[in-house]
Amino acid sequence: MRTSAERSFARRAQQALADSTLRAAVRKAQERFRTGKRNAEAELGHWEAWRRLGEAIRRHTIENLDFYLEQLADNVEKNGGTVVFAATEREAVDYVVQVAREEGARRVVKSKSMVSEELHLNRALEALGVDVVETDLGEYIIQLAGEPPSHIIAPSIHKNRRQIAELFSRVAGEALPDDTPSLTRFARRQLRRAFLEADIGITGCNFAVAETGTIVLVSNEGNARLTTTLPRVHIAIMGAERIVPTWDDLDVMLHLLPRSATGQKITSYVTAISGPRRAQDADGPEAFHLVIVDNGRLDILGTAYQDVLHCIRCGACLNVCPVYRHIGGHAYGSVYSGPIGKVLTPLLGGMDEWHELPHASSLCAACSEACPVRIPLHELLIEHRTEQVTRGTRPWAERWAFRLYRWVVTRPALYRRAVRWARRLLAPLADGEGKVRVQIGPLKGWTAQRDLPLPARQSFLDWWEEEGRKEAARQHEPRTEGEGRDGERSA
Amino acid sequence: MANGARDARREAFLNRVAARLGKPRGRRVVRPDFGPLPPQAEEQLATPAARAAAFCRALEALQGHASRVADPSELADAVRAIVRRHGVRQAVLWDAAHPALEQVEAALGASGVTVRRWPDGGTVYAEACELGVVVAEMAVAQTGSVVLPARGGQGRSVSLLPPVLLVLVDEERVVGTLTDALRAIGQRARSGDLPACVNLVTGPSRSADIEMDLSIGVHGPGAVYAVVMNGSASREADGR
Repeated sequence: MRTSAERSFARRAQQALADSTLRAAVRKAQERFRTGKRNAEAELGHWEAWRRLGEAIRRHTIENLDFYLEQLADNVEKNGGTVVFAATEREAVDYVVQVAREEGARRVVKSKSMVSEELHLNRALEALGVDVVETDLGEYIIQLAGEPPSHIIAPSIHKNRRQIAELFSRVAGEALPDDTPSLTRFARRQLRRAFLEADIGITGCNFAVAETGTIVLVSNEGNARLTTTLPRVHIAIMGAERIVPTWDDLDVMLHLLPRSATGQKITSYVTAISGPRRAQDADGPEAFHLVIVDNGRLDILGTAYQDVLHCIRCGACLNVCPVYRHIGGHAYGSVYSGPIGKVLTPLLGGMDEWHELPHASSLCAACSEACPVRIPLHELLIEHRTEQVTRGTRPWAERWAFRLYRWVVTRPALYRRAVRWARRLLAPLADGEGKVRVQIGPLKGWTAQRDLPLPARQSFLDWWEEEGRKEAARQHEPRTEGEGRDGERSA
Repeated sequence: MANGARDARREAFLNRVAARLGKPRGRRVVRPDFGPLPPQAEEQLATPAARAAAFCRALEALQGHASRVADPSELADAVRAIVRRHGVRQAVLWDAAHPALEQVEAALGASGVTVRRWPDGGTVYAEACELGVVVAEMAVAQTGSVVLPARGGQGRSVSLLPPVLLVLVDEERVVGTLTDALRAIGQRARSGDLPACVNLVTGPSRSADIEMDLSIGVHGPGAVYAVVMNGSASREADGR
């Protein structure tokens, strides 16, 4: 799960905030994706109805996950594939390594798979002496840079063309120009060679269709097609929840996913794979393996967080998130970033290690609104926070502060006195503009980032009382002829 | 891994799912009716000609090239134009019984292009080709997509390895919506007719991974041509 050596979220966020190149790139990507999605929704029409359908399908599927997984596994085997259920990262990786060993594989090509990032699969294969090549252009870029992906669907948005040209030039052994066509041409040539030499192709899985044992890959570049066409073995790795019952359900998902992810009606390629090549086929893999991964997912079933398993990994929640906009994907420090990452990572990787993530949110709920399958992400973030409080894992200072707060606000007379005193206590710290900017003691957490305005001279409660008194006095005044109740001249 | 160990893992896994859901394993699950799909504009395209026109517009919008031909000589013209524009020297064609493929083969031969039918020459030859030629099982008006099942002589590599792709489309095979296409594939799949791979191809290969700047043809074909033939074109080619 962890993708960063820096263990403090606050420090990772600070680093990102100081990086103006990164922030400009993330802003640009967010705007592009968000506008694209809005236009695609409008063009399709009835977006809310599609969302509700999507949600209903996902809910039914997850509520009957055992049934559909069994159906899927039986049908993949009927198609001539091998199915492996892996409870842990270890089991999944061991199986892939075992296949690589048995095949005597020297080179593996991969098309983008978030689940394989979660499993640290590349590391295990490289330890075996296998050359692993990421073939999605963005993934290839960050593999050369030795960095994790920063966005679920656009892994290299944090890199600019100059940095990319530098990375490619190092591989080429000569200085490459930094225009997009030249960089793309270079990557195509380099990677085509890798595809032709590879023994094994590894992919993720956007949707598995249970009724026919089909793995569906939704892609734009064509690398997923090459990965599943040229090597003699194909291994698909899927999170246990990436499944739909029928082709009709796939249809609904294909209306939601591309539009929500990139604003496309449909991606360039939708590839439906049902087992290895047939006897009469001259291309395609001779062997097909499907690895179905738990790795913490099953523990989410039957809890208040079950809806998070409905996620179809479109990235729409990242593209509307104000926090993601400012810190980008790496600051989250986990494979899944943005709102979905804040909810999912503590569930998969443990709250002890990821306790900061649920707090990296303004709870504005833009994510829940953007989600094509209506996952109530902001409510799940509140659920996480609630659980931290009830478990007593919040810092003692916060716990005491809230205890004190409760004690004060449940005693009206005390509360009113406290409010009057707040100004008097803070006044000596304020500057000429009536703003507290000094960074001392418990104030520092706030004033390090923001100005704290002094409380008003008169509290709302005092004002309300005073107004009530004035109103009562007005009620009792004798009215003069021709005057309305509130002193206006009537016509 | 031995089958026994695999089965044991599978059972443990599925039992755990059922236990977490608080449901009995092995129960019968009936998929509920999720209700009708919302209406879509392309459902109103009543004639093959209207669907073909919409298909061409959708493909052009994605920087693909679409044209409609009425007879074999127009098809030959379209092929010659592609050969000239892309400097085609070698081409690989699907090996399928479709009269238009023969038309294309003849036109390519007349332009001095080396032509082979898949899988003749295999991956090595297909990789060296500038042009791949396939026939669409279906095309989708709404999205500009074509459906390409992989079967025997209809290899996946033909529409994938060469940088230029030509897709031949029969006008009556253009359906209105993506839903129509997926329903048809699903129905055939349920009746046991499911190829190892079916591709839905929509326009050229694209990527925006470099500064969100659209680049075309990063892995798959960067130039995609669709030629829609109306009934008379395929019939004449057929010698009917």
